[in-house]
Amino acid sequence: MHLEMFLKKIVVWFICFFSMVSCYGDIDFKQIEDYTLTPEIVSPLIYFTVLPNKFFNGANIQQPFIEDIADFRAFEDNTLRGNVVKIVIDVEIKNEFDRSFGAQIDLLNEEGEVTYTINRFAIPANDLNYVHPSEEILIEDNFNVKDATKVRVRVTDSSARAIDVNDTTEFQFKSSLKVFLELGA
Amino acid sequence: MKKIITLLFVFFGIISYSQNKQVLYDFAELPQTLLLNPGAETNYKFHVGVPMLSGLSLEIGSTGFTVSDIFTIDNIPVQDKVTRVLSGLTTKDHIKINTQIEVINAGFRVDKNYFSFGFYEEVDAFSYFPKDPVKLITDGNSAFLNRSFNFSQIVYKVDVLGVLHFGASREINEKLTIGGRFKIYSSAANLESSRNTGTFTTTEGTNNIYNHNLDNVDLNFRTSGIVGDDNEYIDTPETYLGNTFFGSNLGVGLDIGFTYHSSKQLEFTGSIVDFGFVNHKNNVKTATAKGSYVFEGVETTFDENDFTNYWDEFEENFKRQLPSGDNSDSYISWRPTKVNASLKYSYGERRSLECYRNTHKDFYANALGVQLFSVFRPLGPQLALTGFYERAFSKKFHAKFTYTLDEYSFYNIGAGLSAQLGAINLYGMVDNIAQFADIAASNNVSFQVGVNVIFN
Repeated sequence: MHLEMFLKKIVVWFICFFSMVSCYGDIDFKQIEDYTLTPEIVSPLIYFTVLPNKFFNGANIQQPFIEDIADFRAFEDNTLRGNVVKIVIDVEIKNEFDRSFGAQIDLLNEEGEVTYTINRFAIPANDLNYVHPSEEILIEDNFNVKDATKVRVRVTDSSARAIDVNDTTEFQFKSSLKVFLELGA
Repeated sequence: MKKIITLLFVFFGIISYSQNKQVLYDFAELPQTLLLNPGAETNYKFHVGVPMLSGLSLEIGSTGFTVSDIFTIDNIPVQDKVTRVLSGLTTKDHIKINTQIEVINAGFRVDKNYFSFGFYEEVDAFSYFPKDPVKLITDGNSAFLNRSFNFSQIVYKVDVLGVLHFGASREINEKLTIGGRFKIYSSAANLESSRNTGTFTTTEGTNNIYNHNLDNVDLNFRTSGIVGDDNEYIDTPETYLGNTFFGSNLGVGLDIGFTYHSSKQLEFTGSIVDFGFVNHKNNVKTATAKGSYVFEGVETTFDENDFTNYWDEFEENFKRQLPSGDNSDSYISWRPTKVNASLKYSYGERRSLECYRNTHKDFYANALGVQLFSVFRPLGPQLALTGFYERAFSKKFHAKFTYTLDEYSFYNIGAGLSAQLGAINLYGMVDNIAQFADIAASNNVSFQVGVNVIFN
C-alpha cells in the first residue's frame, strides 16, 4: 500500500513536474515590440554617357540642353513605400568637355508633376571626378517623394558655344540611391 | 513584422529537437520503446495504449541562443540583445521541434513473436539559421559592399503527418531479438527548402556607382498541403487533421532493429528508424527562381526618337535572365532517418521476472551503459552521446538517469520512471533537468509521458 501511494505520488510528480518545478527567469515577450529593423539599402540608379552629337536634334541643330525621363517604380513596393524614412541620392560625373554643364534631377509623379527636385548644380569643365554632395531627403519633410514614379535628368550647356558634333569627348553620369527603412516601429 | 520576429525567436527558442528520446530508449520494456527499436525485448502477452494518452512527447532545442537571451527583463535594449544574438549565430546553428501524439498503440504476442501496431501524429520542424539572408534583411547591403550574401544557407523543413505502423519482433533465441516496422506516412503539410544556390553581391560598378550581382541563383521553396487547388491557402484545421490519415500525399518507411545479449549481463542494441519518404503530389506549390543577373541601374539614352520604357526593359531583362515562378510538380521528401545504438552492462541483485506463458526471465537491479543517437539532416548527421544508469527498484518500478552530450548541451541530465500498477503502466521522463531552474535559458528540453495497459 505504501508502495502504491508512493508510485501515485511519483506519477503526479511527473505530470506536474514540467509545469511546477521548471521555472524561468523574468521574461517579457512584449519587448520585441520595441525592436526595429533598420536596413540601409544602396542601389544603382540612373547612368548615361553622352557624346557631343546628343546635343543635336534631328535637324542637326545644337540644343541648349538634353533631357530624358526614366520610370522609377520602386515605391510601388508596399514595404518600401510604407517604411522608408530617408533617401540619399549620390551623383558622380566625369566631364571631358571644355565647358561646364548644369545638371538637374527631378522626381516626378504619375502625372508628370515634380515631387522633389535636386536643384541644378554645375559641373566644371574638364572635371573628371566631380562628386555632388549627397542629397539627403527626409521623408517626413518630403512626403510626396513616395509618389515618385519617374526620374527626369536634364543636362544643360549654358555656354552658348558651338559643339563639334564629331568630337568624342564624353559626359559620363552615374547615380545611386540609398534607402533607409524602419520596419516594426 | 513584429509578429514574425516574435514568432521567429519563440520558434527558435522553444522549438524541439527531433526525437532523441534517450531516456525512453530501451527502458523498462515499455511498448513505446518498440517505436525506437522494433527489435527491443518485450515480455508481455499484449498491451493497449490509452488512446491519445499512451505517448505524448515534445522535444525542444536550439543552438546559438536561448529565449532568455532576448526576452529576459534586464534593462538592456532589445535592439542590442537581438543584434548581439544575430551576430553570434552561425550558419550551423539551428532550431528543431518534434512532437508526437500516439492516437492508438497496441500489441499482442504470438509465441515468440510480438506484433504491435498503431497510429500517431507527428510534427517535425527543422531549420538552419540563414545568416546571410537575415543579415541582408536586418542590415541591408549598404555596409557590405563586395560581400556576397549566400542563399544556400536557406535550409528548412517542416512536416505535419500521421503515421500508421505495424511492427513485428521475434525472439530468435535467448540472445537475439530482431524486429521491423512498416510505416505508412500521410502528410498533411510539408514546407521545405534545400540545395539552394546563389549569391547577391553589391559591388562598385564601372558604368555606374554600384552594381547588383545575382550569381548562379537556383532557389526552390516547396510546399505541399498548404495551398489548395483554388490557389488559396488551406486554413481549415480539420482539413489538415483529415489529411494525416490516408490523405493524398502518402509515403512509406521502415524501422529495423535488434537486441543482442553477448552474455547475461552485456547487451547490445541497434536500430534504424524512419528510413522512408513521402511522395507529395497533391496541393503542391513550389516556388522557384533560377539564373544570374547584373543590375547596373537604368541607362538613359537621350534619344528623342526612341521612347524606351526603361523600367519595363529592366523588368523584362530580369525575368528573362532570372526567371521565377511556381509549379505543382510532385516531389519526394525523405524522412529524417534516425540511428540508435546502445551498450548496456547489467549488474547487482539478480531477479526473476514472470513473463508470458508462465516463463521467467532473469534481470539485474542495476545497469550502466552508453547510447549513441544520430539523425540525418541536410548539412550532415547530428550526433548525441548518452551515458545512463538504470535501476529496477522492484519488478514494477524502474528508473533511468541519463547524461547526454550533444550540440545543445554538455550537461544534459535526464530522468525517467516507469511504474506498473496492476495492469496499468505509467511512464514519464524529462530531459535537461539541470536547466529546470530557468527553462528559458535552456537550449534543449524534452519530455515524454504515457499510460498503457499491459498484460503478462
